[in-house]
Amino acid sequence: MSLLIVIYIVIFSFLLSLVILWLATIGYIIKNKKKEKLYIQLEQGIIEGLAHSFIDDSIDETENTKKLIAYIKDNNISFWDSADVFMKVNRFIKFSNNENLKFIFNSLGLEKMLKEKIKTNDWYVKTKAIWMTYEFGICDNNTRLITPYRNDDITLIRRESQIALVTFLGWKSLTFLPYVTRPMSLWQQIRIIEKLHETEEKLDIYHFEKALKSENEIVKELLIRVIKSFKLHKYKYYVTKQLYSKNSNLIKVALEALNEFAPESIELKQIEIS
Amino acid sequence: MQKQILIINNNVGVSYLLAKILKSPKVEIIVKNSYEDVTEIVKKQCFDLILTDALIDGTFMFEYIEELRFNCPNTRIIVMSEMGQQTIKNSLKAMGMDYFVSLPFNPIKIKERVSNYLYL
Amino acid sequence: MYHFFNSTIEFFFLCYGISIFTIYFFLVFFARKAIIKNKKEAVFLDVSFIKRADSLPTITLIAPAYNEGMTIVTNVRSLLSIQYPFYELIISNDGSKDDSLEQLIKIFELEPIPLFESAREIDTSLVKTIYKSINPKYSNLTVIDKENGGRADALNYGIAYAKSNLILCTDADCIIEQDALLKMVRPYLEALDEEVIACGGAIGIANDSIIKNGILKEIKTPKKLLPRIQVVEYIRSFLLGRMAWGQIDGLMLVSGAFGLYPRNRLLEVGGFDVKSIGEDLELCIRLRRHMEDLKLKYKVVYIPETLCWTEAPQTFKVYKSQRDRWARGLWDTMVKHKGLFLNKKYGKMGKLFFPYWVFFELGAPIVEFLGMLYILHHIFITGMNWPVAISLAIAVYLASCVFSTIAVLMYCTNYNHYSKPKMIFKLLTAAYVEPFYSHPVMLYAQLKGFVKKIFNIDTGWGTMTRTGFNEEGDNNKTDSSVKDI
Repeated sequence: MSLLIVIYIVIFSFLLSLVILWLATIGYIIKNKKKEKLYIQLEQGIIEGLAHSFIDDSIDETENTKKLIAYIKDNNISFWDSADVFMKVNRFIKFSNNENLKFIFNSLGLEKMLKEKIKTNDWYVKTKAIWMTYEFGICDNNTRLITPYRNDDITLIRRESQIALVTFLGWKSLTFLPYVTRPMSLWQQIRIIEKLHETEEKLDIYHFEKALKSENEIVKELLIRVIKSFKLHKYKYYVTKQLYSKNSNLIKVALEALNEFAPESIELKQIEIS
Repeated sequence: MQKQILIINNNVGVSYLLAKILKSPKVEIIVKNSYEDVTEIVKKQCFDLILTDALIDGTFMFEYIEELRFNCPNTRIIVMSEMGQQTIKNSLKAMGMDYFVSLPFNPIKIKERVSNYLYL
Repeated sequence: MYHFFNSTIEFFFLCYGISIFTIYFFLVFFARKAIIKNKKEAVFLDVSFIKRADSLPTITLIAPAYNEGMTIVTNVRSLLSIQYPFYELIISNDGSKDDSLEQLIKIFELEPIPLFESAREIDTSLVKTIYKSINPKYSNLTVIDKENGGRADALNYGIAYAKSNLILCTDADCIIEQDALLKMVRPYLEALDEEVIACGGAIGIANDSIIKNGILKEIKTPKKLLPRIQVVEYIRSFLLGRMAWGQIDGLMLVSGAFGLYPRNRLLEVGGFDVKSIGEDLELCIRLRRHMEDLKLKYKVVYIPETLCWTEAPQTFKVYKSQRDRWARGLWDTMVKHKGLFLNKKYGKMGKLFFPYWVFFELGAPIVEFLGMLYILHHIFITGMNWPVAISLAIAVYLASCVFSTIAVLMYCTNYNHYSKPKMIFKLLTAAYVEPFYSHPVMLYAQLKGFVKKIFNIDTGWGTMTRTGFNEEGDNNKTDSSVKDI
């Protein structure tokens, strides 16, 4: 085969690639327009149904709730699309507090679908399902389903499982902290503290003090942030103790926490001296 | 006499939902979804209550609340926002906000607060 | 002997060409993987969740300003509109000769505050006064008035003065998306055992877009061909190049116009190099080198979304000046850090990534120029095999078209900025014209830059004449010239 033939083949391949890419672009534009239109309709439909759910005080099957459920089922709207809209609205109005919405979820079979998705091998689907479970407050028997993933190799699965456990168990979830070996990102710590704030239980001193005994530096960092966030002045000694750690990050976090507590000038001088 | 509420939020769905929740025969609700629309309407008419997100696209948060307060000196302003850190709340209060609601909110509490402001 | 020499040269060009195309092919593969991964991970770290968090890292946004009088107030307002709960804005007025400072003082009700010498952790040129606003709504604004020392110098004082965890370096005339910080902070929030030492974001071109009060309202493709070609160039280099390199931990450049760094690491390396023209590339390499020396795990990450918008050169004069400066900056940095070249002590950076920059970023214009000379030699002296030459040229041209098309398609399918069919068509046609229209000019400018470095001809930053963004309702083009020492 001569050099010229080879070059002609290469030219032909590139031209073919260009044609395919142009067709893919056109196909994408058409598909995207349709998808956007459908999504807007879905969002409007779901929000209309949800709005009525909030207005109607009765938890019986109302006309509008029936319409919403029928709309989603009859139009074969995918689980993820409708769940995404619910998640979006959930950022503004907490679903887990509303009985009507729990009824909608049950009628749509969302809880059952989420349970199936949690068992899947796809890390993204599993993580999203765990996330939705705790955000929607669907916790019946899901705790047991999620617990095995709290030490998963995949960071996001591990993170969302641990946050889910804190959401469902509240302060009692601190019992698993001493057994945490893998690193915990700042975001995970922020979310855990957020969920502890949202829990209706008061500070569980027994479980909290058990967690304080942990030698794990990641856990210490989290606990310092908990002490700072909940203004637990009683445990300021624990924060001050971390100033002597060899871990510079831990010292930094402890200093930031102490700054919030506005330590007495005598304490500050002691810290400076040491 | 019908009370007038102005609801401001960049998200059309959220403002629609809020409007539905607060719907009442004694209340006229106007919804605006952009900064330009808001500046236009507050210059023309007064409201009994403004329910707004702190973060509106195209403007700087503190200046926006200050502007609302300047144009509507006697109107109650309730700010609803995801950004509910203490420093932000303090600054918004200094700019003229009356009440802050952290998102996600409880619709029953919002209804109560709005009723308190409108009818007391 | 002559035949052997000829064959060797041709073999070299063939290998070089195949290497570049192979690298680009892998960049496409890695970029696609990185974009999908980034999109999936972003689902779990939505900006709404970040907005309400309490323990977020504090950020200082530093924007040097020099003679920005025409637009400074609008620009500062635009930077103040950024949505992030814990951030402050520092405008570093670098010895402006116009009324930039006076305008800032008047509009933002600034008053001087005491200047503490202890705030000088990095040496900079003299600071005259620091201003803060007496109006509580501008409480997070600080204006530093200093003697002219250049962009790097202006940034360095801001870095030393700031007290936050992270520093975002930008330019006063860049338009930053309101949720930019919320997205840029994500890698720092998710970091586990690898410390994030630099985070870059994509920069877009806003020529002829609709801007109101310093906020980008609607993106439009530039009317002129030159900036439109640069849109495609930026998409290629940011989306394909940087995303792919970030995926394999090989990102060596975070743009100076939009980069987020941990303050403590910036102080450790002494901030930006004031003598360097390519200070952003030089800083990134220096940061990486520092972490390698400390034997700490780190990463340089890249956010594929366009969060910062700037103005691209509209005329060839300004375009040449810019590319000349970039070439000199690249040369400077490669020479300064030549110790990294094939140095095993620096791991993959020394063995792979730095050599790539030397051979394929610094080397590409040189090889291209030598290739052109070789072709001319064949045409005028030895004779040319025209069918092969023309076919080869067509093949190379089509390859560039394919890569540009892939880049534009990947961008449009993942992000909404250029989603209209007409916009996509305009961008693609600009990409197909690029090799004939702007590429020869760019090559000339790069080679000129290298020659200047070889013969020590110092022309500094040159004059970057900007026409300014057209604000909505404003039919007059603003004009500002930026000169440096």
